[in-house]
Amino acid sequence: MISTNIDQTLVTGHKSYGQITGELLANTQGRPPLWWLVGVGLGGILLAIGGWSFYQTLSKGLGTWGLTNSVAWGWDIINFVWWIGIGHAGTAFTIFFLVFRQHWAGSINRSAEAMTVFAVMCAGLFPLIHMGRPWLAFFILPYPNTRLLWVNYNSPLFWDVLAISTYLIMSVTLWYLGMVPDLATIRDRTKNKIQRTIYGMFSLGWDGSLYTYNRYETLLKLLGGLAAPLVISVHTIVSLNLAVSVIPGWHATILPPYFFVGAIFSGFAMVLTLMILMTKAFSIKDYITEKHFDNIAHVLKYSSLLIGLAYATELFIAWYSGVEYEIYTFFRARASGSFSTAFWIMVIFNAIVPQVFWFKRARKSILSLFLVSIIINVGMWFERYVILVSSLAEDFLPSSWTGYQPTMVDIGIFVGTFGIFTLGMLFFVRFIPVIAINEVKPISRIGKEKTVKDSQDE
Amino acid sequence: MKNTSASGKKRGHLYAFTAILSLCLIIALATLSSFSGAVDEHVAEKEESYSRDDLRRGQRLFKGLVAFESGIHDCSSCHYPSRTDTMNWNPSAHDLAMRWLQEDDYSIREKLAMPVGQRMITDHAGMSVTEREEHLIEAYLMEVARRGPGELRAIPVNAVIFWGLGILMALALVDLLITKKIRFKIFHVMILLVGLMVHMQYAVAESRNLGRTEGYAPDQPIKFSHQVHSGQHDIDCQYCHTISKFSPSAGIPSNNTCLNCHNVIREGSQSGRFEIDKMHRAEASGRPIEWIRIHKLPDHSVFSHAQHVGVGGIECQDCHGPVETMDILRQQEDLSMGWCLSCHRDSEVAFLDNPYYEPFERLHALIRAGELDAVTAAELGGEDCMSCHH
Amino acid sequence: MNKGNTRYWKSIGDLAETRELSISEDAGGEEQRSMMEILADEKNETASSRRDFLKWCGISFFSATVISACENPVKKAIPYLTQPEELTPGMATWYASTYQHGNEYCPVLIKTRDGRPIKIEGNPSSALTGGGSSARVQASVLSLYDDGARYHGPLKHAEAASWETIDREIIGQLRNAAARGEKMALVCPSLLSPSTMALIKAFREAFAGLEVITWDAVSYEAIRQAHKESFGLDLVPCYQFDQAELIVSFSADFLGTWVSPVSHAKQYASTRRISEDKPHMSRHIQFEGTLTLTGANADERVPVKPTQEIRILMALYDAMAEATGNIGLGAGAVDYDVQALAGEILDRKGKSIIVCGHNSKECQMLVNGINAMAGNYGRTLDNSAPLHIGRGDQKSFERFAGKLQRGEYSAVLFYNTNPVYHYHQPEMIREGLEKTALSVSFASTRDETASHCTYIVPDNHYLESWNDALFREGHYSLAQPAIHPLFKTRQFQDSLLRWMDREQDFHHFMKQYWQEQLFPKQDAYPDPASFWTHSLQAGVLDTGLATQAMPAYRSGSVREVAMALQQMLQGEAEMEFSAHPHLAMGDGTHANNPWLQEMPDPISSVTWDNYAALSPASARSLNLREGDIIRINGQGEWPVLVQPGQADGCLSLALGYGRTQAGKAGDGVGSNAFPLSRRMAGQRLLFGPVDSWEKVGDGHRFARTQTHFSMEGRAIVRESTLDKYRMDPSAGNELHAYHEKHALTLYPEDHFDGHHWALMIDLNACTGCSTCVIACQSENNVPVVGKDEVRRRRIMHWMRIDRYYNGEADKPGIVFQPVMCMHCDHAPCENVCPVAATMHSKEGLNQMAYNRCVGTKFCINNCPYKVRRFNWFEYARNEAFDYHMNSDLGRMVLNPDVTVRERGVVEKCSFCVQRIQAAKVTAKNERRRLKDGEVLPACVQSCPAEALVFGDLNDKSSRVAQLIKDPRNYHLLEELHTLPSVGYLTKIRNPE
Repeated sequence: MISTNIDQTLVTGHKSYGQITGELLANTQGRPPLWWLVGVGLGGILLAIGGWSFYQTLSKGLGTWGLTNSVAWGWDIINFVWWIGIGHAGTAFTIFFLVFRQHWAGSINRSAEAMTVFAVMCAGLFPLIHMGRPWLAFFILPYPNTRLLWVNYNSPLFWDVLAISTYLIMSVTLWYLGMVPDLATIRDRTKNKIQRTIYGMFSLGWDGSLYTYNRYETLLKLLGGLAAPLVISVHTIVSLNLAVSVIPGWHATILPPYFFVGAIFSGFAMVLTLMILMTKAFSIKDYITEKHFDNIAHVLKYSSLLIGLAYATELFIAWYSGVEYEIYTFFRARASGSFSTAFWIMVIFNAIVPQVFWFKRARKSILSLFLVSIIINVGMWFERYVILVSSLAEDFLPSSWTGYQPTMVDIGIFVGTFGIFTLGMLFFVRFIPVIAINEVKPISRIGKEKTVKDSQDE
Repeated sequence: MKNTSASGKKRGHLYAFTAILSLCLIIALATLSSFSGAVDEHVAEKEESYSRDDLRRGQRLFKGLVAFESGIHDCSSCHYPSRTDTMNWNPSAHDLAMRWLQEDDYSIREKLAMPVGQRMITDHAGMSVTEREEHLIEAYLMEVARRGPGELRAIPVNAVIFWGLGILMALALVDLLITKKIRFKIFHVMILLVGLMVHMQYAVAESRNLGRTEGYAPDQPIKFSHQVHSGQHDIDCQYCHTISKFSPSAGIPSNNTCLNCHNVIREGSQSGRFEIDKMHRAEASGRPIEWIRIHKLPDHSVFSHAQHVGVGGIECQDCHGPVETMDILRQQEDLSMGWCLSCHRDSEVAFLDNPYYEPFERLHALIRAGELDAVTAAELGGEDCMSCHH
Repeated sequence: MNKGNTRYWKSIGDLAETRELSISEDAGGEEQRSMMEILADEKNETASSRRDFLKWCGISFFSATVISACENPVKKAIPYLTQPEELTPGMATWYASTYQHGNEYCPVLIKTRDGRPIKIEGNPSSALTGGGSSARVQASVLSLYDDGARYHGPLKHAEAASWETIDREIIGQLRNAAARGEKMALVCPSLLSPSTMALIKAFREAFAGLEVITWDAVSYEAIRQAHKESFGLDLVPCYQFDQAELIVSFSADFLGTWVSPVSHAKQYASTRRISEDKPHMSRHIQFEGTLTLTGANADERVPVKPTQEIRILMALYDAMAEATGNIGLGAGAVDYDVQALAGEILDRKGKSIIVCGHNSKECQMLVNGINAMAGNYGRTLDNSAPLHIGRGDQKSFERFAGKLQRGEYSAVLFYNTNPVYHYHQPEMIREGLEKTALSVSFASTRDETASHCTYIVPDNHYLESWNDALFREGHYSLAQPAIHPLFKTRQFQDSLLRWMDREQDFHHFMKQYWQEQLFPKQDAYPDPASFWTHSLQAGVLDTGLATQAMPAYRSGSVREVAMALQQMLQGEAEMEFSAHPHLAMGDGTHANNPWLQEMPDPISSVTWDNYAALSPASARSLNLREGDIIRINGQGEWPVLVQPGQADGCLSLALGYGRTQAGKAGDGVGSNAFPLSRRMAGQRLLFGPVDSWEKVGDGHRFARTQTHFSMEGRAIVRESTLDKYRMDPSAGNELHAYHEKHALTLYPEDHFDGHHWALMIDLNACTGCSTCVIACQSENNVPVVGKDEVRRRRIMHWMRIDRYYNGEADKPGIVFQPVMCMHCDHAPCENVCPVAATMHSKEGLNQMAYNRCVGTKFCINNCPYKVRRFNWFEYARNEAFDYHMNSDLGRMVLNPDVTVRERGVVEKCSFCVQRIQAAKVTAKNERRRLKDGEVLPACVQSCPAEALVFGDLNDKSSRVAQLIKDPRNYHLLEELHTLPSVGYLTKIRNPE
């Protein structure tokens, strides 16, 4: 086992366990603050816009979107991949930092996981509604039927269905099980009868005994072990949707690792965005410290380098392969043609801007952290846009080359997913401790006492 | 004190609400039912001369509650006023009513006095009605015509079981969680488990049969019996369904096909002249007969009788069931895609006999080498999507 | 439903009404029931197959399944009361007929299913068109069901009236006018029908004082006049492009719209088709201002504006005259080596053909002269079998218009002509009609002239009519109705007969005419009755030609010609306009046909629009950009389209647009270019100077199906030259051998038992005429999506004509390439579909199961050819797509053998699998092998140039199996190793 060697205080301020509990439960108690109500209202409006767009799509058809005969996937799949990418950070946080004993991540896990769940929910919406006949979506599941028909196991889209549904189930399970001790804490502390019943039901009879803790730790580790490959597989398989095709710019073996790194990258950026907002909203600065931000910034910096490497590799291979279609797609359509604006936004936002994190001042400044995290996610959106649309819009036969313009409905659905995400996160911060109390308590002593042994790991 | 009065008030609201709701329902049902029997224009014409009293008395006469003067006991034992699911060769009350309405000089008294056809002569021997009785019967027939042929009311066994179990499960759940009257919890669990399984089974079966019409056997405008024609008289299917060997459609015989024989054969052994007359009346009026379609494939599937009957030489019965035994034609198979496919996978094709298949050299070689006994439809493209969907 | 005016029913509920109607009609006594009438007798309409019934009720399969899921709906099956002998429910019946409109002529076969025409095919028995057809012929079946634009019955002052009233009133007025000796006129276009002309003659005799004015919107009168001058013969010669080795055309779009494009395409393709056995082909030089379809096919295309073109024509005449020792015109020098061309023409004496598209007597006389000097008469031009077109008389029409405006006529009748739209001074006609006591239009669909007439006495659609045609001397054809009139309309000829108080109807009139006039001309049938029956069955009759000595050419007064031309050339301007009939729209009569409106122009790929085409240089010099809207000569507004290949200084406009009374599809699409035409030396010329223009707007968005025109250096259309081909038949196609050699795969080789269907496309024969596109649309129920959706690049056509330019922008080479589903053996679309809705069949077809498709569109993305189409909306029964699939009548054109696709599913070319299946069943039932050429997909069948060949690769003797071995064969994007079943033969040009 790798031993933790972080010689820093993970939780600042000298807090007793009781104090920690009190502070971390604060958000679930009392009257909801004004900003929360405003946020819910805003989320509701976004959701309503999404609902209207969704209704347009269902009642009239996919023609309400901006797709064309050549560009048959547009904002729908861009947004899908984008959300799925964001949905990576949560599980990645929990799993990899659990496995690698990165205790500092303990205070972020909970929100990151929540983010994952809502992001995957938003993402999952798109494959469903991008179908021409979503009411027949069950055709995509292998089940015995009187038509003697089966699904096409060759299709990456079918792999994708399996990957995403598995991933959603796994991340929900992990997130929920991680919450159980905290739910029990709320149950024990609340005076409201209804709340006690509901929290009681969800805390699954948690009694906090050593025995329970022991089992709990084992369970989490097992689940973590199971979930680790899923984190990798889900985005890999998303990338296979493109990589398995023949379309120039899609047909590339680099896509799986490239997409995975991209997912981690955008997921961490989103975590950073949310953490900054949360530290502003709640008094949890002692738990999510500058050190956390610093660490995330390092991760972003390195993944940005990897992304840059992927971009460069793609360009190189396109040139090296000598395939005229690939060369056209990368050097003409993307780098210098109709999609050059989006391409250079992608390169600058993803591969260049995050390099400011080499400077300590940039890592220390909340403003720069916040801005860069937003820029990264915008950049990542453009990355998906470039990959998807440029390849489809200008592929093999110039006669079918088209442009691509999203419609209000396309935009509305994207806005609607923000509504889902915002509302989900808002309800999460209102009813569940945003920081896992049970994870913070064990690490709250780290860095304060000189000798810390990871006895509980053995 | 306060509490009870409040709850009493609430209960009062609930009662009022329920009452209003049921009233609305009753009114709606009544309105709907009054519209349900579409009033034929003929009915409207003749209607005025009959009073409600006439109708009531006519009904009693027809159903045999009151005896006729001539001693006939009742009409309804042969001429059923309501629908049945077994073959009733006699014209039903509705049939009679429609006939009476459509023919201007149709008189019950005359029909009884001067019966046409052997069957009618025997059955109505010695029967007669008075003018008054005729008027009353007519009043009733008017009502029958207005009511329409009526729906067949089968006892919904499945629905009873489904809802009954549902209620039982709900009770079990309530008792398990709230009332706790029964001590043995295994009891609740058993009910819930069994109920759930039965419900699941229903759900699966129902969704499987969604849109399927297996066993569909509607009443036809003419009581045409395949049993009589194709069974008893052993007429070849293609004698009437002439085009089935070369057209995609099997062809529902046109009226003149029927009349080929029925120009001569004017009376059936079981239904007398009544049913056969319908054809002649159709010919005279120029109104084609509106048969009810039984075998319906979904709109997106193509089925060619020419391929199956003409080329494949398949017996009609293979898909349509033992037609020669059916008085009322019934859909035998479920006509599902799986059913089609399994037949395509199993049926052997007369591969060596038809020169069309000569280009299938690989298969011929395999047969010559003894590696293959026979070729199935599936091997020749019978599983291709576009064989049936285009 | 208006009782009695329609002979179809919408639903079972409506059936009763229709039934009563037929009963009463039957009771009304029928002297004789022709075969057709029995067929059309809708009381017998069958619904024997529910599938068919639903199909033409247009219920998509989705609603059917969902409804049946809720409850079991009672579906009635109503058989015939008395089944007509000719009709088998579920099977098609074919009738031979003839399509004719102005100079357009095509003998056709009409496919009817359960009594309704659903598809038109060319009649292969015709010696002229030989099974070919054109887009307008293909689309003509749709106008039969044009509920909105067709008149449902006779009208008086735009109010419905009964035939009795109308007849009584019109007869009365005509007789009165005749008795008083007042002037009357019947205006019609030049007619092809000999019996109609005989009838009109009789009609004129019956009503003294009736003038018959013949006038064509797009006229060939000048050819006639020129031949009168040159030979003393008032005729249009028969052009025999198949005899020509050198084709020189001055603006004659003979493959697109000029004279007889269907037969020309056939002849032209026969000289362009090339093989190792026959390694020679014709050479084609085109001088033109507008980039036409014909010009796009030329080996050498010289873009010059019209006046310049006439100068070249004159110079060529001079060069020829000089070389042959005749008197020249003394025209000046031109910027083209006419000496070389003259030399080339003289080298191929009697094997060249020179044609000119301008309706100018003088130009045509020069062309006659050149042809005569080249010895072409009697070889490539046949005066002994003249074409019976272009009888229009511009001068007499102008006199008529003047008199009409002055109110000198008391009665005027319009048959098949629409001068308010077509004449360049419509106000003369409009004002005149107000002053005329009796104005009658026989229009069958709404038009501008009819809207100004007192009486509208609607003619039948041609599919409901009897008719005959004599297009070329000795080549007769017949038209018979394939359906009883859908509305209360009456054939024009029957109206005339009725007004002449004849008992006879036109059917019998025509029969009598044929038996009296034509029966003696033939000797195949011994008696008139069997002659008539067999002619009707075959649809065409070749009587042969009377041998007669043809007068020799005489040059006439060269000086007069030269002077007249010099006068014409004075109109030379910096910027000249040139108007031409549109390939799809023609003269605009069929503007309300949504199939034609949505047919992409093969040159510009624009749909639903006309435009002012300018060369890139001209646009620059005028400081105009694409989408700017300009007003020309104060007449109309056109958006500018920058068209490479246009002559500098030539602004081209398509005719046939800007209808105002055509119907909902045709109204207000583009602007009318007819008013720009001008009168010069007795003829109406469709070109002239742009005297004034102004920019009135900008930002017009064209609905184009292709927006990128360069091949980007990719080997998509492969071409070579004749010289190189002679040295190496695989010239230009070297890549094919390379890719075949380097094709590596991990998978076992595909093997197909039985059949392996394939399609070969000869790019050398394909002219790009787009007939196949409309034929496919008609056969496969392809929906019309409208201008906005085309703008969004969502056209639904299953096949398209790709057009690429190469070379310089002002003088580009143009290539056409028909693209449909390639039916790849290793189809990229197949393995990505998650629900296995698209699969490979045992016969090598890439199948699409619409009912399985959930619409993930993955296949569309992964198709390198982008031939898959998605149903973005519900196109049938949707108010937003108010074309033919939104009305009960319009849906009758749907092919019951092809599913109407629901929204949300993907569709594409199926190689017309319904035809394959039908042919297979027939062969199996007849216990024989399938013959090569027995299965013809719609595109293949319709192609006038026979550029497409379909067949079974497993049949080694089949034509496709031979062609696929041709060294010219290649597959589109073959480097992807998708193994397409569609092959292309390289395009060979003959530049020298």
